[in-house]
Amino acid sequence: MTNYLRFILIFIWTPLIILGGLNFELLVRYRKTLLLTIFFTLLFGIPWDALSVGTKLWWYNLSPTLGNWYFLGLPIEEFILTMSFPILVGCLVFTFIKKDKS
Amino acid sequence: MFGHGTYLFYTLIFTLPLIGFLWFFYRPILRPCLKKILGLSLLATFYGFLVWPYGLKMSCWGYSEAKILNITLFGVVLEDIVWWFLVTWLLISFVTVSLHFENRKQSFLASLIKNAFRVLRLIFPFLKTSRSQTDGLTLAVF
Repeated sequence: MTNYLRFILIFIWTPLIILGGLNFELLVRYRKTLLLTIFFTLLFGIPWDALSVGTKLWWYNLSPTLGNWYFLGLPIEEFILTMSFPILVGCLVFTFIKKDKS
Repeated sequence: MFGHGTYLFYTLIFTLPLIGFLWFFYRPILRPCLKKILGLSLLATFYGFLVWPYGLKMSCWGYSEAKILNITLFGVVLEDIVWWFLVTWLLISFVTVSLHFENRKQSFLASLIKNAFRVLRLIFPFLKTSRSQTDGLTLAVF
């Protein structure tokens, strides 16, 4: 497993699985919201990321990424992170805002 | 291009217009949740503050020292803290508004497109389309 994937697994997916498990019903019910959030995160996040890599603001280490799966200069792990992040934020909202109202 | 302010500039330019857009058009929905959105954004920022340096330590990514302010807070790059706060503020606001629409069985996407056209017409007055044309275009998307 690559370092970047390990980072995502430990720091993004672990809280996501815990919060997602607690809010599974809401995740399914509000899947449209999650899909829309993922779509817009990709729409704005990927060009931002690509611009940052293109202007050498930040870079990704070639060795600890999943093979040579690159698109717009970004490793596949970056896409995984970009798609996981809005779900994690969605779970946070379900836990602290939505549940309060229901 | 922006020297040491590049990271900060990109973060502000990619988040503030979108936050402004959401809070301008959907203020009645967001305003009552302001404290919760702020609290959650701070909580998420604190989490990012704790975990993001591990990304650097694990060599997942790196920054060009010529393009960041080189100000750190307990080893965390200042712009990373700003990034976490603004990105989570934006996403939490977005999810909150979208949930409001979904609860009312209305399309948030259609509303976003309609309001985006209003902004575009404001920025580019030559893009004058009638209201019915905009509505027609929004409908055409679906």
